[in-house]
Order: sequence, then structure tokens, then C-alpha cells
Amino acid sequence: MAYSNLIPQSLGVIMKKLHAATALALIASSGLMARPILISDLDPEQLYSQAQINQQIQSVKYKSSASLSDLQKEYLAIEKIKTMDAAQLSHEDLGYLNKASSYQSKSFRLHDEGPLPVAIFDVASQAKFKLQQHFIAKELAALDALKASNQADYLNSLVSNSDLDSAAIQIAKVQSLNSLTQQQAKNLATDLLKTRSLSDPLLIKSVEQARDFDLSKQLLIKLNNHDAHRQLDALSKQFTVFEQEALLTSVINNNQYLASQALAQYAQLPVHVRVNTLLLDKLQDPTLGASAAKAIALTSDHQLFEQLASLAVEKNASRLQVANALSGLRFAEGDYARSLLTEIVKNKQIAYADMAQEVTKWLD
Amino acid sequence: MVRLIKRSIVTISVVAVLAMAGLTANAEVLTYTENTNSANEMALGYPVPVPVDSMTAINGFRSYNFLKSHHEALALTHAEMTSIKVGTTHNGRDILAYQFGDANNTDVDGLVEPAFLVNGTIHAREWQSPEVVTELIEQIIERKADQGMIQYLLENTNIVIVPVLNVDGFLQTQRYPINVTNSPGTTTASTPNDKFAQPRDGRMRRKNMPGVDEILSTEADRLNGVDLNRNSLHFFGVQPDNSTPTSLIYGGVNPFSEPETQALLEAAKLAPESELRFYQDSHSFSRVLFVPQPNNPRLNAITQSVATKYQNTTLSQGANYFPVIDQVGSGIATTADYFAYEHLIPAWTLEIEPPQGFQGEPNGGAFYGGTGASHSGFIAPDSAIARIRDQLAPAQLLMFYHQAGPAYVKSVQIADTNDNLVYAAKWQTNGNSRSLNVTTDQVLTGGQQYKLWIQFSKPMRWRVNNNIAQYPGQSVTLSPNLSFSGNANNISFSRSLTSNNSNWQNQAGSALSGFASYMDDAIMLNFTMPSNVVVASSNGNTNFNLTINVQDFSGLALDANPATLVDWTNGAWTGYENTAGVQGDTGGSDNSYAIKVANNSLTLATGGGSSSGGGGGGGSSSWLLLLLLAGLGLKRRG
Ligand SMILES: [Zn+2]
Repeated sequence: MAYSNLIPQSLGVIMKKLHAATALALIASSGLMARPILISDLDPEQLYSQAQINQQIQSVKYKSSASLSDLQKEYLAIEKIKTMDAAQLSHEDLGYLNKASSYQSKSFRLHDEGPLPVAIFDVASQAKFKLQQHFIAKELAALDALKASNQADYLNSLVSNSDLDSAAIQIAKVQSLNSLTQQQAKNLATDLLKTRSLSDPLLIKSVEQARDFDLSKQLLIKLNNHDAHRQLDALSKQFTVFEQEALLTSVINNNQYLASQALAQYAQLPVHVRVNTLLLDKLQDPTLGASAAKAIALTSDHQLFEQLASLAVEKNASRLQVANALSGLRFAEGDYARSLLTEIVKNKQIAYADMAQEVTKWLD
Repeated sequence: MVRLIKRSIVTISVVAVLAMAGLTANAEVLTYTENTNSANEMALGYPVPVPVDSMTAINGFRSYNFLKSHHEALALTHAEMTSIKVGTTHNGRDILAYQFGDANNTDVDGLVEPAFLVNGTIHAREWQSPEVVTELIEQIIERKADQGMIQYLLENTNIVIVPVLNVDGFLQTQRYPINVTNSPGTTTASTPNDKFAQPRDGRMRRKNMPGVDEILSTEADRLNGVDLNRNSLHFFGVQPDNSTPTSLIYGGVNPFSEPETQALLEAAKLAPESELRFYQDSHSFSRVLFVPQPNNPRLNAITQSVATKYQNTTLSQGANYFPVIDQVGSGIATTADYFAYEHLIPAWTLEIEPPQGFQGEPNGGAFYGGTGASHSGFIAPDSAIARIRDQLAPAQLLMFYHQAGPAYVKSVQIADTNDNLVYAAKWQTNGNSRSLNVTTDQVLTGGQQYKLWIQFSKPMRWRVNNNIAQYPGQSVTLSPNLSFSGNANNISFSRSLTSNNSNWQNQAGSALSGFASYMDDAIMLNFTMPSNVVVASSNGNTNFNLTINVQDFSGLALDANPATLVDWTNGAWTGYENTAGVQGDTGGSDNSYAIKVANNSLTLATGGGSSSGGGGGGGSSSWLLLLLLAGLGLKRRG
């Protein structure tokens, strides 16, 4: 029997019978632990098939508000909220959003993979998001006004009171940086670097705006949160290829968290800028060796590939070096690297039996 | 990241000119944004992740190219990990499985190893999956020499992991990390909500890519592909939409018609299938387990028990992965249905977070403070994925440890205070059975001090900072439960031995001095042989049967009779006896060890000859219990 088989016609009734026992067992086994809404918790009419959802939405415009289903009301609520301009919400809008923020979905469809109801629309979250955007817009307008009236006060406000700021103020401050001059951003970033944690969004944004090598370096050799990846990509491209080389080298040598990505970027530098020994030396790094191998592969540099091939058969090379030299040739994927690997395998030059076995599989 | 997107656009424009010639209509390409809603944009409320070219784990989602290289490099560097090409996708790309273990496929007793299969990324858009599965790979490799849980698993089991099954589809989602095409049936004039209601290609591709080009805007093929999680044998085609080729859940022309699902079967053969004891298919989202229930009560009881253990471990990590138990006998041709029904093993569909429908926790992307836009749960923010990976690894590893099977007593040794061996017994495995080989069997003396050492077949305890602790989220009796029992002067007696956590051995040293093969696979303690057992005559000896009752750290009790080997057959354990010697799924106490004690060191009966507890660590409650058991005629078999 399939769950979804039951959906189109009178599924709810059948569903309810089918899953009531299961749900009770679950509640019993998990005590008072939080659990998701289950099919057995729903009224049969609350569960819709995709065809029913489509049909309900198509017919919504032909219906009077009095005859709308919950699904149709929720659909219209989402439409209404999304079309509101966050910067110019009326009193009525605010009242509506506040009420909608605590709305609990009443219409569901079945999860694709199993017997779990999935709310079709999330009116509450959409409303909360709109309200948050409204507060941000208000704060941003206040900051803009302050900036217009008193530049110094505005700049001071950016560096002060961060712990007391609401999320909206913090986001507005970050957004307001877009209009700073490069020098203003540089001054701000320098100030913030003394007092804020590196993961502070305002600090990161000010460094991005400053387009300053030293500031970017200070940030990137330590930044290790989710923002780091975008920043490494964006910041390094602000500079000349020689500056990029220096910046990426610093990151590779000092920021273990970002080093793998930095190595991949390093490999894309022009051949006259790249320092090949940096890549070759990193092959013996227990954490970054494979990333160095990948970087070498990305250079498409035949001379480097030959050095990998020599290292792979070098008697004094460590197990890790041999593995990463072979990996580099594997990752290169071109005919030349493959021919080097083939030669090594043919001559039985891999000192480690398990590695020889893996490499042989690559060539199949 | 940005680079990747630009590169794709260049490729597209070149290919597009060639491929699109003759086609009149293009699908509308829509974009997910952080904050902007418009006619063709949908705000998620947080930055939309794009793949990062990093091989090492990050707070973000790695590109397939770099993930694959990462897996390959690990397999080359570590002898414990082996790559196996199990198939080729529709578009000619390798599908790789990785096997974890030692060189042989036998455990320390020479038996064929039990096996587990974890599948990742069967649905292209579920980016949480490859990251979670890769974390599992990383933890196995990082901890391969832990002298404990992981080393035990590597030496005694066979773990097979497929990180990305739907390679073509996954690459398509990464090629267009912020773009989708409009819902079927909508036009550019439709409302944004309608256009985004059922996004299909690009970031929201779910199916594989047979005859589908890699250009997002191609109208003619964008709904094509097979739902690889509807392409299995059991319950094939049971849903009406399973037979509609453009449907999101199109099941294909036949069960296992697709190269990707065939590759999964190939991966199962690496186990081989007959040795499989656990299967997980890793999806997102909803933060639940969908648990199939074949018509097999013993299997279902075991599966529900391990699913609850899984949930409890995730709870200890701060995430409630709730088991949603299927109706018995129902299914929809998922791969979890296949392994549950075909191989009768605990199997489920893991739906990684964000949650769905939990009270007090917003659904989908709203869980992360986002807008909760339709389908946003497939796009977890970069900032969440490292936590998600970490929260799930301990639960998955616990499943392997549990399904490796219950522990049994391997060896018992007793020495006197001069370190002279006075009793030694060892279970010897010969083919399909074991026999107890007693090599030292001297007569012990009541009232004397001895040292007892017992070796088990698994690491039995978990440690945190070197201290014995519960495995995250589990609750087992941590100290071993030991007693002597027997019959003297026609009366049953039982004397418990004082034991505690510190008896577990985490120093190497082997018999009578430390652990044997793995940390905490042995206990060692000093005890005084009880003398307060009343005997009828001071001549001869009395047998004191050593009774050993210990749970492993997943809560599995001992195999009470090591003579019959534990295996997994028809959805349940075989050869797994309880204290009374009856086969089942619960196990019990092993009391196979008869220690001789000289009667002249015990208490001589004076007239009435009743034996009572007290002294020598005697426990009258267990004595009463034993009397009761004897009265009920529950006697364990040989
Ligand atoms: Zn899925």
C-alpha cells in the first residue's frame, strides 16, 4: 500500500485510521519529547494532494472571501505579505503582520518520502521576515539621516554600542556602509579591528569596502567562519596578481581553515607569479597535502606533473608524499598526467601495495 | 564560487547556441536571493550558498569536484579505505563507493564480517546529504587508530559508503546554485509564488539526467529524469505519479532501470548483501527518519529500538531526529523500502534538518531565520552545515557498533595473589561453533584474595577525557555485574562480586593486566572468594559458577551462550541466547565458567545446614532471585 495512493480521494479518513496506532506508539516510546505533527494529528480535510493544491490556487480568484478554504486563505496571505513594501508599511499592514507572525498553518501536503505532513505555506515566517525588513529599513533611514546631518556622529555610531544593538540595527549598519568612501571604510575597519571579533559582519564589510591589502590580510589569515569563503574569493580579486600571490600565501601558511580553498585559488595565478615550491612543499602537510595535490593538478603545468611523478617513485619520499604525488596526477585528469601514472604502474614503481591497487583502479 | 558561476555561464552560452537551435520555448530561469523578492526572484532571508572549492571540511558546501578528490585522496592515503567504481551515470560519470575495513573480510574470529551500507545524494538538491556522509567518512579515517570503537569496526565489520549516487543531478544543482526553472504549467505572467511553488531543474533538481542537457533553460527536457528513490523493486509504481515521466516521482520503466540505482545494488554486493545489517539513505529535509516496517515483528522491534537509540544520540547533540514509523507492509519503492523488505535489515530514509512540523521550531529555511519560502529547506545556510554534520556522525557510528552484534565473553582468567594462574578458560571458534577451552582449573580457596580478568569481543565502554561515560544519548549500566552462584548442601546460593567502572581496562597489557585488543574490551578486579557458603562435608569441592552480565555501550546485552555464534538471519539475531539459554534478540548473562572451591575453606553445615547471605560481598536479593529462577525451572542450555 502506498501513502500517496490514498491522497486524492478521501485520503484523510483512511490515513487517520492507518496512522493512529503508529502515532500512539511513537508518543509512548518517546515520552513527552517534542515530535513533529503527524498525519494522525490532522483533520482529513487538512491534507491536500498536489493536484488539489493546484486546483485550489487556480480557483482562488473566482471565490468570494467568505467561501475560501484555509489553503486559499494562506495562499492569499503569502501573496499579500510579499507584495507589501517593507520600507512603507501602513499601520494596518503592521497590525496584519504582527497577527500573521503567530499564525499556525492549517493546510498540509504529504512529505515526498514518507508519512509526514508538510505545511504548504509558512505565513508566520513570511510575516516575521517582512517585519524584520521593515525594522531594518527604518534603521537604515535613520542612519542615512544622521549621515546627512552629521557625518562624524554617524561614523561614531557605527563603532559604538554593538552589543546593545538589535539585529535590525546591526544589519542596517552593515547595509549603510555601501555609501562610505574607501578612506572612511579603511578608518572604520582599522578601528573595528582593534575591538571587534573577526567574524563581526560590520568589520568584514568595512574591510571589503576598504580595498586595502594589509586590512584584507589581517582579516583573511584568521577568519574561519562561513563568511570566510566568499571573502577570500572577493577580497583576493581586489588586488594585483602579485598582491594576490602574497595574500594567498599568507592565508595558506597561517589559516588552516581557509588554506584548501586558498590553494585552489593560488593554482589559478599566472605561471610567472606562482611559486611552485610552495605547492610542492605542502604535499607533505598532513592536512593540506591533498589540497596541494589538487592545486598542482589545476595548474595544468606539465613540469609540475613531472615533479609529481618523480616524487611518487622517490625512495626517500614519505607515504604521505607518495600518496599526494599520485593524487595530484589523478586529479589532473589530462592525457599527460595519465601517461605518467600509467608508466609508474607499468614499472611497478609504487612502494606501497595498497596504493598500487588504488592507482591501478584509476587506470581501468 | 563566483568564479564557478561565471564559468558555467560561459559554457552554457556556447553549448546553448548549438543545443537550442530549433527550440522555440525556453523555461523561465528564476533566482533565489537573500533579501529580494521580484517577478523572478525569491528571498530566502539568508545568503544563498554556492559550492566552495575546498577539499577540507568548511562551514559551507563543497563542490562535487573537490569532494570527490577529497574522497579519492583519503582512499589512496589510508589503507583502511578503498574506492570501488560501482557504476556510470547516464552522462558517463563514475559512481564511486568506498569500503572501510582491513584487508580481509573476516572478523577476529575468522567469520565473515557483518556489513552496513550508507547511501548519499540520491536526490540532487539535497546538499546536506553529501556533507553529512563525508563527515562520516572523515571521522572513520581520523579515528582509525583509536584502539576503540572505530578500530574495532574497521577490523571486524565492513562499512560501505556511497557519498554521491546521483552525480549528474548533483552537478546540475551545483552548476546553478541559485537558479531554478518555473513550476510546470506557469508562465512569465504567473505570480512569483506560483512560479516558485514547484521548482524543478537547476538548484531544485531531484531526479537523474537521462537525455537531459545541462542547460537550465531548455524547456523540452527539464522535467525529465527518474526519481531514483522510486526505482526500486518493492512497491514499484504504486503511486499514480510514478508512471508519469515528467512527474517529480517518476519511477522509471522498470525497477532498477537506472544506472544509478544499479550502482547502488553493486555497492550492496560489496557488503555482500547477505551480510548487510543496516542501511541508511541520506536525504534532506525534515529532521526525521522514515522507517519501513515489513511484516516481520522481530525485525520491526529491533529497527524501532535502534531508531530510538539513533534519535537519543542526536538529541544529546542538540537535534531531535524523530523516527516516523511506517505502517506495516506499506511502502513507495524507496531504496530504504528495498533494503528493509529484500534483506530484512534495519533500514531507513534519513531526512537531515531543517525540521518540519516540530512544535516551537520553524519549518524549512525559517528554522535558520529565513523567510520559510517554498522548498527553502533544501537550501540550508552555509553557517549551519558544520553543526549538522557533527550532530549526525555519532548516531550513525552507533548504528554500526550496535549492528556489529552483541559482545560475548572471549576469555576468563583468575590468578592468586602471587600472580599464579588458577583458572583460565577461552572460547575457541571452530567454523560455525565455539567451545570453551579450560586450560587451567585449579581448586580455589574460600576467603582468599584473587584477581579476575574477563575479555569481551568488543570495546564495551565509551570514554570522555579518559573517564568512563555513557555514549552520547545512551543509558546503559556502566559497571559490570558479576556473581558466583551454584548449589551447595542442596541449596542454591549466589554471591555477588563488588565491581565498578574503574574495573574497565584502558591500558594495554592483555591477560590479567590490561585490555586485550581494544580499549575497554576487558575488566579486571580483585575479589575475595566467598567462604560463607554452607557445605555438607569438608571433603571435595563445590562449583562456583561465575555469572557475567554486561551491556555494550549501545545497550546490547551479552550473548549468554558463546558456543552458538551470533548472526543475522531473516530480520533478527540468531544464536543470541538469553540467560535461560533461549534464542532471541535480548541476550543475557553468561554463566559458563565453573570455578572449583575447596569445601574445607567453606562453611560446614551444622545440623540444619541452611545457607544465607551476608559477608564476602554476598547479596541476598540476587540469591532470592536465583532461588526463584530455579523454582521456575529456567535452566540455561549447554
Ligand atoms: Zn530526498
